[in-house]
Amino acid sequence: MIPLAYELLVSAALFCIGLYGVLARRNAIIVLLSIEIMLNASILNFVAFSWGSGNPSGQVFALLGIAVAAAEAAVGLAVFLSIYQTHGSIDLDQIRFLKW
Amino acid sequence: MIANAWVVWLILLLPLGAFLVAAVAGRRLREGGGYVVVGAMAGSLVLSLYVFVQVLMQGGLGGNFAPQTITGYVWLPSIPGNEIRISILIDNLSSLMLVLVSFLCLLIFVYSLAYMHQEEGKPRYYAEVSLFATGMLGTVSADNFLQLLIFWEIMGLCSYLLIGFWYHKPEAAAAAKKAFLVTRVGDVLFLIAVLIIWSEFGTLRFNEIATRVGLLSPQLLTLIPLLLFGGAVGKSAQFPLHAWLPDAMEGPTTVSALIHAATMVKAGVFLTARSFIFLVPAVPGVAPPFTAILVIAVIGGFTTLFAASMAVVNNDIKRVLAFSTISQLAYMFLGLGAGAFLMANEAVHGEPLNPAGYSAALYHLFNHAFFKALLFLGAGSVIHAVSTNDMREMGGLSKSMPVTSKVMLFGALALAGIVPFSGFFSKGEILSSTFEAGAGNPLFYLLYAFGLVTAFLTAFYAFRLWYLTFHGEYRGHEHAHESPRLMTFPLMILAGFALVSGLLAYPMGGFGNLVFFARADARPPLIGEPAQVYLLEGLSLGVALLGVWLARSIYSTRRIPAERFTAIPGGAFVQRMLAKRYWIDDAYDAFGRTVVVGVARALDWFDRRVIDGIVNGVGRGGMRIAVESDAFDRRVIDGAVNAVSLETIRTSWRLRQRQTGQVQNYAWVVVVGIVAVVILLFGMSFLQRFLGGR
Repeated sequence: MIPLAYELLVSAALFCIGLYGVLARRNAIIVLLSIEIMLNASILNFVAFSWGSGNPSGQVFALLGIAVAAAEAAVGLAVFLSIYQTHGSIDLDQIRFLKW
Repeated sequence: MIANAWVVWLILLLPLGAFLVAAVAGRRLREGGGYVVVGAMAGSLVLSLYVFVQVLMQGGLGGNFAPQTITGYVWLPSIPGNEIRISILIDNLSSLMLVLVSFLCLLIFVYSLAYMHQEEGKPRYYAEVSLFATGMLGTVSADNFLQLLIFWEIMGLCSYLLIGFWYHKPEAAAAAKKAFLVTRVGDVLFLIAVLIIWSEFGTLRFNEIATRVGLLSPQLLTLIPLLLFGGAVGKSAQFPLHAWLPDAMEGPTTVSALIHAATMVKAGVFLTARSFIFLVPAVPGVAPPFTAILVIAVIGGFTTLFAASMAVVNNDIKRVLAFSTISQLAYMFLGLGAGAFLMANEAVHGEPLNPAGYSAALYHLFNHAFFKALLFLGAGSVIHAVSTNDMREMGGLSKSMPVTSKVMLFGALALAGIVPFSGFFSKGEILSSTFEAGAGNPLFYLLYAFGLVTAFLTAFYAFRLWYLTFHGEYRGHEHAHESPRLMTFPLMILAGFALVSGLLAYPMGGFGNLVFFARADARPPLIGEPAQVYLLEGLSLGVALLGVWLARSIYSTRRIPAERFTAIPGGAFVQRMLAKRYWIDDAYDAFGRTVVVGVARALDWFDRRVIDGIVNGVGRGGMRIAVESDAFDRRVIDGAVNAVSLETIRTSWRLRQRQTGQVQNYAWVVVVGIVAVVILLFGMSFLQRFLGGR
């Protein structure tokens, strides 16, 4: 049986990878992928604690989280598609029109 | 008690309704509503007669009709029993006055139908005369002093409107204003009297006051009748407020007849008759105010001679009658004064009251109303024919105007006091009462002498008027003709009354029976009197005949040329003095021009310099404060507000530099923030554990 701490370490490592992607990469798609990784890291935490404590509601929450992640990805991709069609680029350095 | 007492209200309401009809719809009615007004007045006359007959039946003759109040609605609410109501008082005096007023008004209105036929503004005329009649009927039937004052003022207003009927004539407008202002002086005194009565008695009703006069201090008992008499002096044009009446002849002649013969000027006499409750207190032990009585008698005695003398030289047919009216009214006041003096003396000595002087005055009021209305309407008929008021342009009209000439002769005989015409009886009674009062106070002998001289002058100017108008050669240019039947018919009725109204006292058993102090022992005039009375009556008849003879000698047969009077030393001066009305009108004008205008100028100066100065100073001060506060507002208040907003703008500019629009910057901020929070939480729990664990 894998100790809970290992699972949490994996989850934290995934979260850090995702965070790096979000903060460092310039391509919007990559950033979106990185967000998905972070989301999955937290879902993994849910599952791990559910497993560790024997309470199944954490697994239910994980399923809910996956559904939300799917919807979020769909919305995000649609936004990027739209930005690409109007500006010809999805480089996050270029996308800075939401300022004063 | 009067059966169906409510009909009494209709006596007032009929002419009031006619006034409204004529005022609102007069333009669309025939004769400007004249027929409506005449009809309403006829209704009033019928109802007045109904009331009068009932009063007569129930003891007016030789007995005492218990005064009946027909209670109306509460006009001024107050504590119960103390409120002021509009009520009608029916007693001997008011029932007689109602008949007299409505009868004369009716005749004058009928006459107006013809006289005013050609005039513009007939609806106005008929509305005003009808309201006027309402005022007079209300005055004589009033139950309390306030109601009397209200109707009295309605009359005052209507007299103003009617005297100024031809308002486009400057003289008429001025005369109307003069009449209004001069009578106002008296009305103010009347109002003061009403206020004093209210504050002293808490009631204004004649009947209640009469039983309570004992409450008054002697000073107030003198003051109140004097103030009331002040009102009467204004309304009845006695000296020194007589100046308005001669000028008031600027109105239509029918108005002169209405106001100056039959109704309004009589209201003053009526008021003084009502104030007998003060002059001769009905409460035993209260000393009568002899001072007030003497003032009334002296003003009356003086004015009668004063006005008659001015009538002698005037050439305006209506003005002669106007002065005559003043003089005859003064006779009535003299009679009231003498009568009050006699009664007050008798009351002091505990003797039965003899109302001879009082009833003589009201008797004269009754007679005068007929013959003076007759003279005015006759004069109107003449003016209608010759289109002038100036007697110098008349003469010889008896041929072209036989009816008018004869009725005017009747009026002149009644005015002069030639037996058996009405003036003889009442004037004689007034003079004998005055002479009788002389035994108590010798002043009355002097007043008697005034009255006697006036009797002579009255006869003289009455016949001067008649001879100048109807005898000799015609001196004018018009083609004179007799007036229409509608005008001569009222004249003939009035002429009949001028003859018989004096004699009416015989079947009535003495006029004193009918008015106020009705008594069983009142006698018809000149029956069973002491020899002295016959002597006095003979004397007054003698001087009247002398006056007629003198007028005939000067103006008809011309045996005595008029120039002889102006030729004697001082004669011209007297003539001028009388023609200028003793310069009293001039003096009033001069008083107005110098004193009143001077005071007005001084007040104007004070107003401009002092009051306006203060106001302007305050205004400038206010302006300075406004300027200062404006500066404070701009610099300090606005400065603070602007500084705050400027600083806000600057801060926001700095802050928005931080908003790059780059998502990843924001992500960094979030991450750094979370890390900081986590460190903080761990740090705090570590500290807690460290501190708590020790």
